[in-house]
Amino acid sequence: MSTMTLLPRPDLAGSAITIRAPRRFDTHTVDEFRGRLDDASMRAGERVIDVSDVVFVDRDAVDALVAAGVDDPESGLRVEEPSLAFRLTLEMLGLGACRAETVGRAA
Amino acid sequence: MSYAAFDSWRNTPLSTRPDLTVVVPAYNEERRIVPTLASIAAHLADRGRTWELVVADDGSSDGTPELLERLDWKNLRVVTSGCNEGKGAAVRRGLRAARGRAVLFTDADCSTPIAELEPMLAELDAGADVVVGSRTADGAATAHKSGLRHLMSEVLRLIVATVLPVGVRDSQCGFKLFRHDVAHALAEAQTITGFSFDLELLFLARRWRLKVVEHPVEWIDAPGSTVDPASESIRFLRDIATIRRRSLAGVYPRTMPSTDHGMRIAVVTPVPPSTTTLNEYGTHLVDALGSKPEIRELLVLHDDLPGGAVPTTLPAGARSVPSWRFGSWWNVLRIARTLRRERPDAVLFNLQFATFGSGRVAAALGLLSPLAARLLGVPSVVLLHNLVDTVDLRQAGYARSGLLVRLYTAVGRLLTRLVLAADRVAVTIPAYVDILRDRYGATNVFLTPHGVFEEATDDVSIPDGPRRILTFGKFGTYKRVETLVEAYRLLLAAGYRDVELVVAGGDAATTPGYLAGVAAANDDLPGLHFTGYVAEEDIESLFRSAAMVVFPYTATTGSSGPLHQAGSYGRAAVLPAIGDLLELIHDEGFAAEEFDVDDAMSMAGAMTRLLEDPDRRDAIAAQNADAAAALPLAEVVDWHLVHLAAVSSTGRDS
Repeated sequence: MSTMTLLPRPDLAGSAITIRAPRRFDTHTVDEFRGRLDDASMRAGERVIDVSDVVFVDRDAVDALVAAGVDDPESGLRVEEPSLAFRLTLEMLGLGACRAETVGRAA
Repeated sequence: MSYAAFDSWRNTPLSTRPDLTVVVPAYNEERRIVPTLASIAAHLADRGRTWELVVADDGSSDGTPELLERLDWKNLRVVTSGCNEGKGAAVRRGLRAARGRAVLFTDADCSTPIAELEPMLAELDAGADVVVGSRTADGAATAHKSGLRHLMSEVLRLIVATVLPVGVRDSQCGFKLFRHDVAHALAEAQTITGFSFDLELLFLARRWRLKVVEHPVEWIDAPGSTVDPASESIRFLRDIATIRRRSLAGVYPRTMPSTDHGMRIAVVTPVPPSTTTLNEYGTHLVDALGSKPEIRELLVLHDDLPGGAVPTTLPAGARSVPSWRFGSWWNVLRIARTLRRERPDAVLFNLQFATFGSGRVAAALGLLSPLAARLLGVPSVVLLHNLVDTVDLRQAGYARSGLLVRLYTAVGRLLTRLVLAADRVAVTIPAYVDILRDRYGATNVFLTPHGVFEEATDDVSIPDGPRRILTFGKFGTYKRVETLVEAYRLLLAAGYRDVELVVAGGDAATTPGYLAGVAAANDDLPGLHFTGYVAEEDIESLFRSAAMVVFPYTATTGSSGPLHQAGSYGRAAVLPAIGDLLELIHDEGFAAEEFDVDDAMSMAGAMTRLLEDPDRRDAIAAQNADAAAALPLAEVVDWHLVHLAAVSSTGRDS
């Protein structure tokens, strides 16, 4: 089954901390993800959520991302390398800010 | 995965029947269905197959249909009855609406990842009628299933296994794949409209002796289900009794009813990457048949490919069924077994006398396959590319002594009689029809053109640079290049410096190393090239690079595929004066410069006439292009379809 590998790792290019979202990003994995996100917020710098491997993201996970401020440019949190499943889900849910500024890089 | 591919799918309605339909039953799934559809679309976006999505709404009141409407995906259909009838009713509606050659139904919560579809499709391609996602088969993985739910599942599973065995351990997993006709037949026969409809579908599949394969899947419990486990368990037990009762009352058909229009046709033929003779004709034949709406399902019974490879050139929707091996003595049994299992409406054999092997025993035994089809009651049409009566066995390298020639001729004629056991036999040369009618008394023979593979061109111009003389085929038996090489030497000796000779293709199966020997013996000759095997995608550029195509045959065994290709690409031909080939030329409107068989001087003379007279060369090329344009294989197969339809509905005629 899907497992989470959410160890924060420093971005070698700067001070950003990258947190990898699980392949199946859902109600079962979101709490652990939220914990990793909180851990990362203790450190200074930008937090980057790598969603390149996500094949399924449910509403609980999306809600958690929104609550963490992913659609707020001031939050210091951004989504990177969105998978197609992630991008489509956010598009369908009408999360325009995410789509326009951070999710639009999916080919 | 590509957003562009998804965007194209979303905005462009399919104009043809899709390869796959995904059916998602939905009842008040406004919160859960978006991630599921996104996951499905992302997975299927650019996998090279056409697909459609059918959401079978079960009378949702939470805005699910409106949400789907707003998506405006051109290949998404929502089917609903407007009221809440149960999951079984919704799935039945979805299966009935499905147009895909394969039909998957998957729950709206995406509890089984869509990636599990891929190995299940492979099972369907391998001959399964139904592939059942299983949470209990070896290799399956489940997560987050509550203890109570697990216990209830186990108890119900035990009850099913005891009271209504359906041949699989997990009947209730919401991830099942069907062949199109099976999906429709099951939907028509299904009566249970609630949660336990799966059980009834599997019961029917077992009753109809369908091949049901259980495939282990990953399953993750998704919260938010609208199903009440307690009440559904009680209903499940009641439905088991209902199915039993209806079975005893004769409610269910004993055999799978036919719900589709169109034929299920099997074609016995080699196809690339097999290099067996007729492989190229086979691939174009299958391709042409695959585009015909009269055919509901096309089964390609091809030879075994190295490493169990699947043919790369099959049209969408055609099913690969490895059924024989070149050189094996057991092909007739394997083909018979396949026909018995698949029960096509009719089978088309694409044959010549060496199709099943270069060895005489393997070749002869394989030719019993049409007889086997007849004994099995599978209607058959044989497309026979050559006749032993017209082959010079000595020249073609099949027999050296007069005694062997007589023996092989007698055996060949016996085999011809056995091939004539097919319901109908198609041949490509008028003289063959006469021979089969006059010598064999056959009344089931008809003439069909050979047909050309490619769209013919009207461009007969040749490229700049050295004028290329091309020969193309499998060499070493009756197609030999020594005389051609000698003729080329004569051209060089006559002062032609702007020419080159290209020998394209490989050795015949019975003469390995032949071309290497010729190359070694002539390594002093400037402008002589050997290409080896030519891939399908390189054939056009090969022919277009040539000024003329030479056929250094000492005998023929029927129609010539390369001659038709020369026509398609607007090339002039240089042919030996052999009865079969000349007759073919005249009958089908081709033209050629002729030479005496196995005579280098005569061959060089024919080539010289084309080198010296470009207008004549272009005139011959143009006539060949016209002849090719008149006979595309895509139209020729209509003739075969007429006969396949006739035998499949009436059985053996005459």
